[in-house]
Amino acid sequence: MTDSAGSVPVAVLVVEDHPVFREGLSRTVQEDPSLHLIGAAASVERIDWRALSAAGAGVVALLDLNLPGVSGAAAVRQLCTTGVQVLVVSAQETRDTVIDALAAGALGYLTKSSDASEILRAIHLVAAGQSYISPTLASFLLAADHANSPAEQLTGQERRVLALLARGERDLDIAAHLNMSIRTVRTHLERIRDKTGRRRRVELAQLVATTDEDATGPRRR
Amino acid sequence: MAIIADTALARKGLTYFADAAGVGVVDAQDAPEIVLRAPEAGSEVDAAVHIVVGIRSVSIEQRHPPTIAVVQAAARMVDELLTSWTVEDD
Repeated sequence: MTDSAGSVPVAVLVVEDHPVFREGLSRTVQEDPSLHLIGAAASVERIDWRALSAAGAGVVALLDLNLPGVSGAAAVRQLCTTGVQVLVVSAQETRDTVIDALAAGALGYLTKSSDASEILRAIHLVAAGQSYISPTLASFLLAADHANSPAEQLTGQERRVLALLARGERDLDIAAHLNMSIRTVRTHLERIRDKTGRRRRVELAQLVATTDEDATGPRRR
Repeated sequence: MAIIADTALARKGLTYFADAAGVGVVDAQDAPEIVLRAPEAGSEVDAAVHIVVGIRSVSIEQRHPPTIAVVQAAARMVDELLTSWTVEDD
């Protein structure tokens, strides 16, 4: 199956118990020709696992956390074990909830106040193996207590690079945002990896929860 | 009927139910006879009937005596919403 551009659409599964939000998410997906809705379930237990299996690799699940039955981080974990890339769409916006979901394997976290363009952008980033966190949550996480964190070892510039990475930006975009070369961005990322012992981008994104740098724009010092 | 919700997702979802019930959607400024809205959304539109869709419930607020057409449309809408809840909860 291909879309009008000849590429294979991203398979998307919606898991949301509230009918209004389930339909809202389903419509958002259906309106993007580069996405293919393979199912919409009211709980993890109601997922059509045969359809999910038939969709093959690279399925993105839009997952609510407050579900009947398996819920929260356990729901994230269960879907991740099947190879699905999880993008949480939740009304829960507390620090612990976000961190637990990311630690359980979620690649992204959106609030339910997200508009369609943000949801679609996050889906495509997660489908590409990158991460995305709603800016409102990223700001919240950035302000969180960072005591005893390996991120404390990071310089200000490294934290800014890290914060942009957590927003799902590519190396190229980080470079443009911070007015530096892509090579410098990669050097910063390598140093961050050395300092923190975390190698994967999603693991680095999780570090944002323990930094205090604002990623809303470059700071000139 | 007008749809009033505080999030884009809720607006899209409520529009789905309006379509499913065959109820036409207009802007809130166009003096709708029915308002379908989320509980947190503003309720200042003076329609005859407000259908309020909560997390686990649907309720109706009547502000003026509705016409028969409004009663029928509201009934279809509520039926569509309640059916969706019932199907998922059985």
